[in-house]
Amino acid sequence: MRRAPNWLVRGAVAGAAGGLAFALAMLDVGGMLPTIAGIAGSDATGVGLAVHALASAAIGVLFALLTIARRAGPGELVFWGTAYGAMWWLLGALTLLPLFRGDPARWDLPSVQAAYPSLLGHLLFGAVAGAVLAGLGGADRVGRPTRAALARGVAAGGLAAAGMLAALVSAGLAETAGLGGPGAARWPLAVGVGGLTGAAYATLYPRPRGAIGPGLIRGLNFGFVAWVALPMTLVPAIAGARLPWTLEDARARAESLPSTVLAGVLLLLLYRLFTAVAGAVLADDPAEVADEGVGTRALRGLARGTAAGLVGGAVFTVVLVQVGGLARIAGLVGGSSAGVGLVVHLVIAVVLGASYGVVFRHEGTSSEAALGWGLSYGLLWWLLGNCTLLPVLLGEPPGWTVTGLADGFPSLVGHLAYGAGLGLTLAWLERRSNPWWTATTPARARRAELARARSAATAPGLWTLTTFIVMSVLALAAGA
Amino acid sequence: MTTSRHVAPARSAGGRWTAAVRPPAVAAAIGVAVAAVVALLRTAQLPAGMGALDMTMSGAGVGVWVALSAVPAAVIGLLGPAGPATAVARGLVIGLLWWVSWNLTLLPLLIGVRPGWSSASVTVGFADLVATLLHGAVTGLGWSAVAARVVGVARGPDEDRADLPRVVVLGGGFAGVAVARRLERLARRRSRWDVTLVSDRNFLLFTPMLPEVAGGAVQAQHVGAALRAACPRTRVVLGRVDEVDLRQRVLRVGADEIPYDHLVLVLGTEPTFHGLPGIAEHCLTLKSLPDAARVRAHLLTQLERADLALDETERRRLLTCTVVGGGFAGVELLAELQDLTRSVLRYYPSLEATQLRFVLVHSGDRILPELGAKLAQFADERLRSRGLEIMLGTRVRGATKSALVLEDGTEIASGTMVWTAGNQPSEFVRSLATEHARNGAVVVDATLRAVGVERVWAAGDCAAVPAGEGKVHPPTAQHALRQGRTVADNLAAVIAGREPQPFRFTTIGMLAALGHRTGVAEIRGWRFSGVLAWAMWRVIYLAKLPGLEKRIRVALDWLVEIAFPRDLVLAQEVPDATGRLGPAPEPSSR
Repeated sequence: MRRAPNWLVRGAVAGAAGGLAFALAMLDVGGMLPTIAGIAGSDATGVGLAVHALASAAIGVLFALLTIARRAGPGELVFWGTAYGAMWWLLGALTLLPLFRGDPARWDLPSVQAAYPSLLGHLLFGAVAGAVLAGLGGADRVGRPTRAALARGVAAGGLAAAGMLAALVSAGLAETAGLGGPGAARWPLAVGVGGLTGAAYATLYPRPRGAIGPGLIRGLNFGFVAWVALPMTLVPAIAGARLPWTLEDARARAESLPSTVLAGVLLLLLYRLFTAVAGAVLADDPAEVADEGVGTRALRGLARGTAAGLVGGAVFTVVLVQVGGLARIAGLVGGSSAGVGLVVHLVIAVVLGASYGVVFRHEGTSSEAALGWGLSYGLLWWLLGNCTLLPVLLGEPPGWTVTGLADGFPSLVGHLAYGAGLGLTLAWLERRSNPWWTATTPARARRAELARARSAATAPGLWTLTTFIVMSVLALAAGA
Repeated sequence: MTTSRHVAPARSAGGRWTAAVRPPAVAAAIGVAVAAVVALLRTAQLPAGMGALDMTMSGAGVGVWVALSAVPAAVIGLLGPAGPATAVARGLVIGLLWWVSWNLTLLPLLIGVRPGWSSASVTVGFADLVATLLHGAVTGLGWSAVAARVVGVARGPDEDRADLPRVVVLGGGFAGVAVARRLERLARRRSRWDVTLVSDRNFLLFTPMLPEVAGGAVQAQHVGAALRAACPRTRVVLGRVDEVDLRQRVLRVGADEIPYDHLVLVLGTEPTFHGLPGIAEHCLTLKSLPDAARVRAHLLTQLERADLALDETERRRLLTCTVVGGGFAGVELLAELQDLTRSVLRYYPSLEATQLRFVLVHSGDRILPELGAKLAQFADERLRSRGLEIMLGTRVRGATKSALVLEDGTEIASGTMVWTAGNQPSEFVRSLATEHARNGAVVVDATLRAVGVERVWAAGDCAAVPAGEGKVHPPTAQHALRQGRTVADNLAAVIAGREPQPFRFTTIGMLAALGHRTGVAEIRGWRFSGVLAWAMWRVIYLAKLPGLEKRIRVALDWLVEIAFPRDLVLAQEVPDATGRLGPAPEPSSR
C-alpha cells in the first residue's frame, strides 16, 4: 500500500513544474499571461505569472489528491495528468476564466480555436505534472527499467520515428510536419528523438504486461502526449523557433498530429514485440511467459470479434450510405459501385472486429469499459485506416493535412460509432460465456476484483484522453 | 440438519423494478440539474447566426436541451456505481457519443436536415460538444458521490454464496459435465446456485474414441477434457463417494462431508462379468483411459513375447486376440487392434500375418444389434473378409489365464482377452435407497427425478429414463448429453418454483468405425457404409470432441497416421503369467 503523507507537497511541486512549463511556453506564444492576470483585476504579465503559479500549485495538489487512492503506474499518471489538464482547459480556460473576467463562457468554435494555445498549454501542464508526480513517488512502484528494457525502448522508438519520417517524406509532408532541419540532418534527429522517446516509454512501462489492446490505446495516447511535447514544444524550442501553438501555426503543421500519434502506436507495438521475443528466447522463469496459450486466447476472440465487427460495421454502413463513401471504398479493389464498396467495407469491418476480439479479449469488464475501448479503437482505425491507409492505397497522399482531417470528419463519426458497437457487442458475447464476476471461490473472487481494480485504475485515464484527442482534432480542423 | 434452500429469497416485482429504475432516475435528476447550469452558461454567450441547428438554444429549445440531457445522465447511472475518476471518464465517453448521436445525427433528422457529419456541422455544433462533455463529466462526478447510497452494496465478485441452493453432481461423464455446464450458462448473469461436481477422475472422457486409443491411432490424453477447464465456475472435487444420506442430504467423500439441496446422479456404468469365473481376473476391459492404455500395452507385449517364443503353439496363442461382445465397443476395438497389429508387424521379422488371429465372440445372432440388419450384415462381411473370426450365438463360460472358455467347453487360447459384453451401474448406485430397474439403474420419471425420493435426479447410463410404451432410452452419449441438459433446466425450474419438463429425444444416428478406413453409419434413417461412413465417423466425432485444442490434437494424430506407422513404444510393462515383466528371457536350449 502506498504511503500518502507527502501528497500535498508532491502535488504542489508537480503542479508548479507543470505550471512552469506552461508559463515558459506562454511567454513565447504571448497574450495568455495578461489574460490570466485579469482574474486579479490586472493585465500585467508579472501578475499573470503569479496567479498562474498559484493556480498551478493548487491544481497540482488537487490532482495529487484525486490520484492518491488509485493504483496508477507512472505511465497512467502521465495520461491522467494530460487528461486532467484538458479538463481544466474546458472548465477553466473556456468557462471559469471568462466568467471571472465578466465575459460569457467561450464554447463556440471560433473562441475555442482562439484558445488553442491554451489547450496545448494545459495538455503540457498535465503531462509534466503527471510525470513529475510519478517521479516524486506518487505512482505505484513499477521498478526501474533494466538496461535491456531501455535498449528495447530506444530501438522501438528509433524505428517508429524512422517509419514516421519515411511516411512523411514519401508524402512530401516532412517540412510542414515541423520535423525541422534540412534533409540530411532530419533522419538522425528524428531517430535520436524517437530513441529518447522510446526510452521514456520504457521508463514508464519497464515491464509491459496485459492484453495488447489496451497497450495499443496506451501507444495512441502516448503518441498524442509526444505530439504536444515534441513537435509542438521541445523541437521548435530547441531549434529557437516560435512555438506553433496558435491555430494557424498548428494547422500549418497538422501532419505532425496523426503521424506522431501513429508513431506512438508503432512504438508500442515494436516495444511489446521486442519484449515478447526477449521473454520467449531469454526468459528463464516460466512464470514470466506462462499464460493460457495463444490458441485459447486467439480463436475464441477471433470468433466473437468477427460477430462484433459485423454489428459495428452495420452501424458504420449507415454513415457511409448517408455521405456516399462506399464508392471510394470500392476503389480499394478497383471498383466504383456502392455495392462493391459495401462488401469491401463489411470485410474490413469483420477483419478489424476479429482483431479487436483478440487484442481486447476480456477487457470489456463493464459497459463503460466496452464503450471506452471500442471508441478508442475506432479512433485508432480512423487515423490509421481512413486518414492513412485508404488514401495511400488509392494512390493519394495520406489525409494528414488539416483539410484531409476535416474531410474525414464523417468517417470519424462512423469509426466512433463502429467502435462503440464493436465494444458493446464483444462485451455482451463474452459475458454470455465468461462472466468473470460469478466467482465460485473467495480466491477467484479476490483475483477478479484485483483485475477489475487494476483496470479501473488505468483504463479510464486512457478513455478520457482519447475523448480529448477527438476534441483536439475537431477543434484543429473544423472550419478548415 | 439441512435446511431447505432451493427457493431464492423473495423479492416482489415492484421491488425489483424500483431497484432497477432508481439509479438511472437519480442520475437523470443530477444530469438535469447540471444541464440547467450548463444551459445558463450557454445562453449567456449565444453567438449570432448559428442557423437552423441552433434551435436547442433558443427559447423553449433550452428546456428541450435540459430535458434531453436526462438521457445521457440516465445511461451514466445505469452503468452502476464508480469512483470519481471512472465516473468522469464515463461521463466524457457517453457525452461524446451523445453529441454524435443527438446533435450531429438525430437532431438534424428531426428538423429535416440531412446529417452529413461534415466540418460545417461540427463548426455549428461545437459549442454543444463542449457543453455535452462538461455536462457528462460533472454529472459523472455528481453520480459517483451518491451512487453507493442509491445502488446499495454492489454485488461484486466476492458476494456471499452461503445462501445459494447447493447442487451436487456425482459423475464427470457426458451427463455430469452437461449438467454443470448448463447450470453455469443459466447462471451467467448472477450466481443462482452453488454447484459441486464430484468425480473420480479430473477429466471428461470421450468414450467413443477409446478403441482408437487402444489401437494407438490417437494419444490417450487427447480424448479427455479437463473438468476444471470445461466447467470453470463449478467446484470440482476429485474423489469417490463413500456414502450418501438421502434423508439428511449429505454425502461423504473421503473425510469430507458435502451437504446438498439437490443431488444429481450421473455415475455411468461399469463392466459386469455376470459372475463368470476368471473373467474379472484374466480379461481386460475398455471403460477408461487406463483400460485402453493397458489393452494397447498388453497387445504389444504379446507381440514382443511372440517374437521370442520358440514353441509354435505358444506363439499362436500370444498372437490371438479375443474380444467378447459384439456391440459398438467390441467391434471397433477388435478392428483397431487388428489395424495396430498389422501396422507394426514389420518390426517383428519372425512373425507372420498368417499367425495373427482376431476373434469376436458374441451371444447375439448379429453384431452391432443397435444398427439395422443390412448395415450389421455389411459390417460382418467386411470384418470377415479381413480375416476376423466372428462367432455369433456363442456364449462364454469363463476364462483362464491363457484361454477363453466357451459355453460348449471349447477353449480359445488367447494372449489378449478383452471383455466388452456388459455394463451395469456401480454397486454404489445399486445400493442407494431409490427405486431400481432390473439392471440396477435408478428409475426416474419423465422429468428425470428419481422416483420415490426427494431432491434426487438421475441421468445417463445409470438411470432408467422412460421412453414411452414401457421402454427406456438407450445408454448412449447423445442421450446422456441431452438428459444432462434437461436435468439442469428442470433443476433451475424447480428452484424458481416452476414445473419441470419431460425429457424428449429421438436418437439422431449411430456410427461405427470398422478399421482400415471402413465404417457404417445410420443417421435419421439414412444408411452409409464404406469409406464415406468412416469419414463421417471421423468428422462427426472430431466435431463432438470437447474443446478446440483436443480437436486439433486428434486431427494431428490422424494426420500423422497417414504418413507413418502406428507407434509401438511400450510405455508400461505388462506382467506375464508368471508375474514377470517384459519379454521372456532367452531360453538356454536355444
